[in-house]
Amino acid sequence: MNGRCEPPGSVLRLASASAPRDDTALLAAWREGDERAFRALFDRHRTRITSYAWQMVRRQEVAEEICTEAFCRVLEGAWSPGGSFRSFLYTVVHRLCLDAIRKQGRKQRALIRLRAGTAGTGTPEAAAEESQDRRRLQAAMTRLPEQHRATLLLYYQQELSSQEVAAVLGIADHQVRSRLSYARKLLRKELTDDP
Amino acid sequence: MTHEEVAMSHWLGLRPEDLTESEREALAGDPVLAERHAEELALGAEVATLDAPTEGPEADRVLARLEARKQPPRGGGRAGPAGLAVGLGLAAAVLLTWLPAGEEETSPMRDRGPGASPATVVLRAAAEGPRGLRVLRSGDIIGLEERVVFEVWTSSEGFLVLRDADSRALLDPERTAPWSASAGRHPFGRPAPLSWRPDVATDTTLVQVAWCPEPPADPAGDLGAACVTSELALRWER
Repeated sequence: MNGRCEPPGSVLRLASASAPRDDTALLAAWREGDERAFRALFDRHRTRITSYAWQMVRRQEVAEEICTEAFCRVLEGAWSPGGSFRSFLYTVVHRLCLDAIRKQGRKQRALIRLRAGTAGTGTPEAAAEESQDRRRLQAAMTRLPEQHRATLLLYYQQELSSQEVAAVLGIADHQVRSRLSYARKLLRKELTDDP
Repeated sequence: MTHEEVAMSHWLGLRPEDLTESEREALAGDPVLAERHAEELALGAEVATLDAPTEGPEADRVLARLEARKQPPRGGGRAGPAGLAVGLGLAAAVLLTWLPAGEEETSPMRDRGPGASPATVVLRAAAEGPRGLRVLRSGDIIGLEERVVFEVWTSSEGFLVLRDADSRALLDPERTAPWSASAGRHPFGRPAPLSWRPDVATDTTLVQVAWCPEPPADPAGDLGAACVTSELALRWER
């Protein structure tokens, strides 16, 4: 028989160098021992889910921790093929966010809201460059109730479909629609009340 | 606003792919509606511009944590057929031998933030079945003939609650109502350790233990910021 010996996992590693693979294929390759598949999967989602977590908890180290823990849970086998990987990942991230928010306590949440109205999102230099409108929007978002902030972020910032948002939040699709509508209304009110 | 108008406002601001055919037609035939829709979309587009001061952790951080979790339990090995646990008391004894010491397992999620509790709590579990006991890691699959034995390790004296993290329902209301525990290791089940599996197995159960400095008023509700938690995802073979 023609052929040659290859170390375990080499076929998957070769495949990873060609066309981009979907999340499920990358996860399967990781489980077969392909570390590059994990890195590709991680790079694909890392910035977006950290951004979502940061918008929810407003603390950089906690947002990074949430991203780390979410991926650990995924890689440890918490997800199995059959559903949407993206929905599952965001479900884990969202739950970790809620857990972190619960742990922040009332005082800490109040402090975060207070800071959100007076400072930018990054370093002092970056904050100085940030436009007034953007700061107002960020502050208004931070003042929204968590469920409405989450819905707006998942749909508009993370670009999940309304069905994916429903899966992440554990609600029906029509509830996503009404919650989005009400959340935008609340956001407009916050923006109007804080000129 | 009429009921019809309220229902209509719910789909304004959705992306085209999330609209139904009739909703798209309504937009195409009504310039005023289309203008409102565009305004809602514009607000959504502004939300989309919000970002974070970080791109996220490095991949190596995830890999390092995974590696740390894979470390073999201290002083233990794989169970052979001779290690069959046939009684609940025996299960507890084996559990104490098998499960890693709590001091070695920590997660930065547990004690973060100003005002966070100084306590640490760790939930560990083993699957008990015809082939003996095996230590479970988060995400492991539990076989049809297996049941789960839990152990909680806590760094401080306090009150423990064992529940489903999603529904917040207590795993066994009679035996997992908040119980007082000293610092150290505590097999689940009082007075004798007990094994558990859900009446109706779903795909995954996220089991949570919470440590609280005082008995929580509502163990199946919001436990408050003073409590710390540890979770394990259990997947059930079906």
